[in-house]
Amino acid sequence: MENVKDLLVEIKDKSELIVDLAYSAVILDSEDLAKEVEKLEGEIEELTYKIRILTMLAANTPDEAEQLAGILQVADSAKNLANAAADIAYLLDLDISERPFLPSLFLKADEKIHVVRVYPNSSIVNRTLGELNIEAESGVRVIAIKRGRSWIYDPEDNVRIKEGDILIVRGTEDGYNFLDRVARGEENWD
Amino acid sequence: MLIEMKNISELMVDLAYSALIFNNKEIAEEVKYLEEKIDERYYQLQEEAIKQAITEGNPYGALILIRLATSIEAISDSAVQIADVVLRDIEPHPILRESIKESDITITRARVRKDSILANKTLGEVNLASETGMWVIAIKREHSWIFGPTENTKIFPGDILLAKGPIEGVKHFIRLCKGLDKKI
Repeated sequence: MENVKDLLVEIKDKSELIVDLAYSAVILDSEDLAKEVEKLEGEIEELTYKIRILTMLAANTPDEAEQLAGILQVADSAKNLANAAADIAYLLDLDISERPFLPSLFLKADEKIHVVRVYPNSSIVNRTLGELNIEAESGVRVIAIKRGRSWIYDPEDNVRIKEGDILIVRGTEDGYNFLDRVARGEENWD
Repeated sequence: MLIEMKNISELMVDLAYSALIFNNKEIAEEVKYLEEKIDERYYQLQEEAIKQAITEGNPYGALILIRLATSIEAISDSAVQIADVVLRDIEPHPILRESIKESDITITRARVRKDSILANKTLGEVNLASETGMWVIAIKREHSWIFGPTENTKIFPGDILLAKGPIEGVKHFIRLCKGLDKKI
């Protein structure tokens, strides 16, 4: 069952990431992000399939089967959640003339997703996400980084921030304001 | 109303995983209750969007609002499905709990002691989420619950805080609640 657990961890992480990326795609009007959402949706579909097979193999008794049915239900729910999130990103398939106000729907004070541009004189340039421990220190989580024309989704701790990076973050208003000032070089991270 | 629906749906997902990790039926029931709130707003939003489309003579605004709301409603349905596992007669399989513990965004709980710096302050005053990365998603106070507390919610000694956040934030959070760490 160790394998199933690892797959469940992965499906939970990915189903939460896909929700954030789907909203980000809409807020940034980014077709790149929408494509990543589509890719993640496929991965989650595969994970669910694998979980189903491994879980079926593990049942020996009716009681076990009932507990295992719960695992199938959770995996399936994570998949449904991912499908629903993906549908949000697919709104970008509508012609731009039909959705000019779409991003503005989310530009509200209580929205948790924000965009931060890193300037050359910022104290976070050339430091890794792990060193900075951004989430625990500032309450915002970096969900994606746009670097030039490429993207890093769900960046690992060893990813180094470079000048010009655009960070897509999710978190508190305070944390975002702080990170934004740091990224502009107006305040020091430490 | 859309952002409100989005926020409720996110709280529902967090609570659904909390119900699962702590095998707690009360939290699972709250998820089902919140689903009713989502549905109410969903129907209201559909109606308003269509009325607006008729007055303005443009269907696309309504189409987008309705599609977004439909997705959010489907996300909240998934949360209910997760919570439903807890409401069955049989205890959820232990690997479900372990998998939540090990995920990127984990869920933890701790009781607030008298000498904790969090005691008798509001969540806004201590700025817990910005300072530690840990978001309080529910508070158990004696026999009652506060789900989705706001900045104005006051923390009292004896409260049990349920929080989600990165693994790196968990230890500090627990020590803050216990009064072992005096600086946030």
